Amino acid sequence: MITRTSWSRRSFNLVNYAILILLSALCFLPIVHVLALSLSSKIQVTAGNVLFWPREFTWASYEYVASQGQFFRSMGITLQRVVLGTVINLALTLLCAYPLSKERGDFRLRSVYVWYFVITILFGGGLIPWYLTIKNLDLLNSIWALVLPGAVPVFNIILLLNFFRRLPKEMNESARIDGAGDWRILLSIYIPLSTPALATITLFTVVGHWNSWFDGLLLMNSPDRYPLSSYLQTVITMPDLSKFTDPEMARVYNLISDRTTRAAQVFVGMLPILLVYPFLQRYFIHGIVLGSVKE
Amino acid sequence: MFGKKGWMPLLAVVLASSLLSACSDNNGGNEGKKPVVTGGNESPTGEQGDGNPFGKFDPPLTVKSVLSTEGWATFPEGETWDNDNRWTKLYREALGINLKWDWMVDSTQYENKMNVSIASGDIPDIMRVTKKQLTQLVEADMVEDLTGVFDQYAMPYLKEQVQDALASAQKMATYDGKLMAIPHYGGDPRDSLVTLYIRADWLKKLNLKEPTTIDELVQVAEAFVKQDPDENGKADTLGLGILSATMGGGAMGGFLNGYHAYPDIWIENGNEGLIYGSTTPEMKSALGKLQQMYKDGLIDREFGTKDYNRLKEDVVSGKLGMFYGTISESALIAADLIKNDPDASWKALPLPSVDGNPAKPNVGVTVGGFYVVKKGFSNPEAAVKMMNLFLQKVYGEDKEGTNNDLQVYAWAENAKYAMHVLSPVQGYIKDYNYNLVRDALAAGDPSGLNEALKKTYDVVSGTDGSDPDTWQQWWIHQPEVSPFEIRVKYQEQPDGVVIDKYFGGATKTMEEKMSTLLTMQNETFVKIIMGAAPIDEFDNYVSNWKKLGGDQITQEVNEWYEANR
Amino acid sequence: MFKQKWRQERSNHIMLLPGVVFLFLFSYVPMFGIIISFQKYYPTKGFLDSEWVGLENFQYIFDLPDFSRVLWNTVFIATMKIILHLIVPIVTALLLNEIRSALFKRSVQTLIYLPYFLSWVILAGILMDILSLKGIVNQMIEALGMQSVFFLGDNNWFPWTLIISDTWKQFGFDTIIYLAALTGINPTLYEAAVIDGANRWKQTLHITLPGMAPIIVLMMTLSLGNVLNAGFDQVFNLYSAPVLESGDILDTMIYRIGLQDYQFSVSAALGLFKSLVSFVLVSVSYGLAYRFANYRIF
Repeated sequence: MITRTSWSRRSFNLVNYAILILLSALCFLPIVHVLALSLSSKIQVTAGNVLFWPREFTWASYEYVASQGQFFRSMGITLQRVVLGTVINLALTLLCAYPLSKERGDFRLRSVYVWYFVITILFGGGLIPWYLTIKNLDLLNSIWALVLPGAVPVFNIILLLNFFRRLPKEMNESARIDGAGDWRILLSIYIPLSTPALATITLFTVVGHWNSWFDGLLLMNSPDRYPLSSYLQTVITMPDLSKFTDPEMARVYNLISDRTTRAAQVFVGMLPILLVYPFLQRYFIHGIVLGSVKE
Repeated sequence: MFGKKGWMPLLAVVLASSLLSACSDNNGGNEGKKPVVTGGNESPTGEQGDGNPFGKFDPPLTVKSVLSTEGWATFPEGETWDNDNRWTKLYREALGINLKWDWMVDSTQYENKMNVSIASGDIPDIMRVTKKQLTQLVEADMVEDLTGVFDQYAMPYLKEQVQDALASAQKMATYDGKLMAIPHYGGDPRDSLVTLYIRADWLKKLNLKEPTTIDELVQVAEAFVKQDPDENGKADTLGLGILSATMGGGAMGGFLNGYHAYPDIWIENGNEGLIYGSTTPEMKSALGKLQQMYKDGLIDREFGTKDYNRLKEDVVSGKLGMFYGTISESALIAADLIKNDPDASWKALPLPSVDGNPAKPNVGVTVGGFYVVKKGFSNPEAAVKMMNLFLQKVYGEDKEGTNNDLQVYAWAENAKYAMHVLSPVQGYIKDYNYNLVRDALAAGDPSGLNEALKKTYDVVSGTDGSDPDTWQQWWIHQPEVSPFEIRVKYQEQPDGVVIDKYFGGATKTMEEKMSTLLTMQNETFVKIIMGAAPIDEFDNYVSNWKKLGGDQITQEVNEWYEANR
Repeated sequence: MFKQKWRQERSNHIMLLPGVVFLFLFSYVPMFGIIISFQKYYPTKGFLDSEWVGLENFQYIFDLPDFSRVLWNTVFIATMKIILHLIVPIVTALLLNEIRSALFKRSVQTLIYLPYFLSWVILAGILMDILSLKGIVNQMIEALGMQSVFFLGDNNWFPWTLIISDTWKQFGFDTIIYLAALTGINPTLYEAAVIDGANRWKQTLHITLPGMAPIIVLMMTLSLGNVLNAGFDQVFNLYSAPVLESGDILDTMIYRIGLQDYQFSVSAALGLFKSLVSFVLVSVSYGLAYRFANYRIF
């Protein structure tokens, strides 16, 4: 594709680059600040002396969050969860999005199903019934409690079904004439043609599983079964010092500062995106090529 | 919509009914246990009916319990929350109690987890609950009456404290004259009083005397703001540091007390019975003064949006020279400011008063929770014995701390490890450690001290306060500057501290209206101080407070007071 | 005839079956908890024995003295967030789409996603620092010769502080969705447009935006469900007494009531109220799109 580079085009490009660089800086600088916090001594942080560069450099906050053997055990549980959870989520997303992307003429109960799914985003029963349900299914304290209750990511399904609907109908029809069934069409046409959407959904899923902490805290019956985010959540939560009357107690709380450890937590939380995202980004471009080649 | 799929409603009914039956099983199960329970109540002693507070169960008794874990707590190599740590060993070896954990959960989710456990009808033998949960459990007849076993098994020192400092906690656990739980004692309520913390080096530099009246306090604040006490040539120091909260560390409560106003608690008012301290005329005058101080720049312009961490930041960065704080603020000053600025020196002072009458700090009655025993459990005295053992190890058997084993069971290795959090039953009673060490230091004779206090004695007598690591220990044991000394002075006077006279839990109207009233109070006070509302807005607040449920609450509180005084 | 149709559609049902079962187990079964909105529920009494109180919990919420102010704050903050959460990511995606350099594009994409990972607890700490009267933002404002702004304590500014900081945190995430949508647009359309002499602006207007329209409409509809969700975590960590007037929202108000212990039924009632409003809005927009554009959003 050739674009004529007119004067207005060039100036637009200039402005565009400027805007995007500014936006990136606005997003990046606070992260640098948090990184600096996580690598500074607690006193400098409390005194408000840290901006973009660590003061009194120390790894203490990272050592603190990773000091207990539990950190690595939790990391293992989280990896298990991310792998299991992502596989299950993606499989169910594909399985549900494909039939729901069909026209009503091809699948009469489509709308009934769609609303059956959408209702679950809008209505919920609250904490206690949620817990009782999982307990009664005997899932408490097992990895499945972290994976199965959220097995059907309805938002992702709806997103993907919209992407599916935009695929050219002709391919679908010609495949059918060639005798391909629904399963074949899903596997060999829909999936390869939707890599950008699938990459997006995979990213959301991985990040979601990596970062969710509340379910781990409530559904696991012992701290040694906490996934990483739950574990980090517990080590960085410090009681409000102003409520204590026992100086001995206050002294222990004071050995660590929640601001530096919270900052360290942010970077542990960002790991998956730093590791997975660059890899997934390739698919954002490949999608087009594949699509146009097929036609 | 779902009718089209015949199997769906069917499955729904099956599952829902299994869930619901799980819940009703819970109730059914309890009714089933009733006969056993009444039997237990008539002879609560059973075979270990010897009344020995530390008697060992033989054969060993298995107790199902739950634990609230703390993420910040670390333990020596080899000990974890759920392996055989020193507390589980101690309970097994000393009391013959084998602890079995139903679950453990981070303290932030403990209440949630307890609620869902109660809802699922699956509760352990001994557990800690909130006041609200306790009331519900008592109403549902799900917990044991502990009156008898407490009388029989509580150790003498605990009984002594319950007569005195812990009386209100014990009353909170009592329903119709029956003790339905053992409180997670929160110590003497008066221990949470606030004192005034002030930068003594600034006072000296500016040639000011310690404020004893509100007028002097205002003068000091003005000097701190205008005379550049940190000598950096910039007008960047603050006068009086307060938060928008009305009670607790850093809050404005101490200042209000200077006007004999007692926010957030119920106080006696002659023959009127109890009235709410936030609505008195004294409060109005105190707020008027704060409004003036704000206008004059003696209070930070951003005071309304500041939280405790911002206040701490001001202290540590050496911008703030005066604030009201509880004892624990000494730790924050020690650990951070002194390291940042070794020349800074702090002093704790009694609350300055607006007139000739000394100001009294006000405190609420707090209890960390209530230990209940599941109805039908064979040996309810186990809970009392566990409390005995915990208090003995952490506090000792008397005021001198005899036989305590603090450094093994509470703060191991110089307070590096917090071990007491491993015990499923805990309590804080009043300790006299400060007085004991202070007196020994004055006499130069540590021989009367127990082992733990002797260590403190050695630390304090071995330093002059120049080492930041031991500064705090040293500082709190210097009677002329110590907040502990101020606290002791207040406590020695029979009426030195104004204690909340109501501790009956939330009344019916409180449940529904109190949060709205508190929000209104907070908003009005802050607006008045920041000058966004005239001082007469206070009168509107009082009349609205009464209208929106305050009168009703006052009536309920006084009914309780009549019945419980 | 019916049988034949059934055979044709059978694989659809089979594919949906696992999803339907999981949702039933983990979403529909717990929905029986909605009944506690009509009870005075206590865990000790359970779902069957708690006292039935009809609509009393709803009445209680609507009768709270601050209700109308809080409802207005919630709707205002949430609506502004919804609007900005649509516009900013779409514009960002379009701007990124004009960039040729793949490296630059990817870097920007990654960087703007990062704030998503900051929790509100830590962000609140940062915002309190940079937005305070002595903070960096006000230093810049003063350097420009303007009056300093009390972002977190002034009722005129506080809602906008919430709206803009939330957009900032979230837009990188949403941009990814629109970027994915962009890749699905048929490149031949652009080639044809170039031959017709359309410039980039015209191409954006006539090809790119219409190509993204289904996803935009979808995101708009789904976000309508949030019209009563103004963001508990954010408000809770940033608000204070002086800005209750403009910043107190339904969720924070109910949270404070929860602290006073009368919690389960009232928060369930609030949840149901919010769900019903969301349901109506989503259904209406679904219906409108179908009726006027003959288009099914999902």
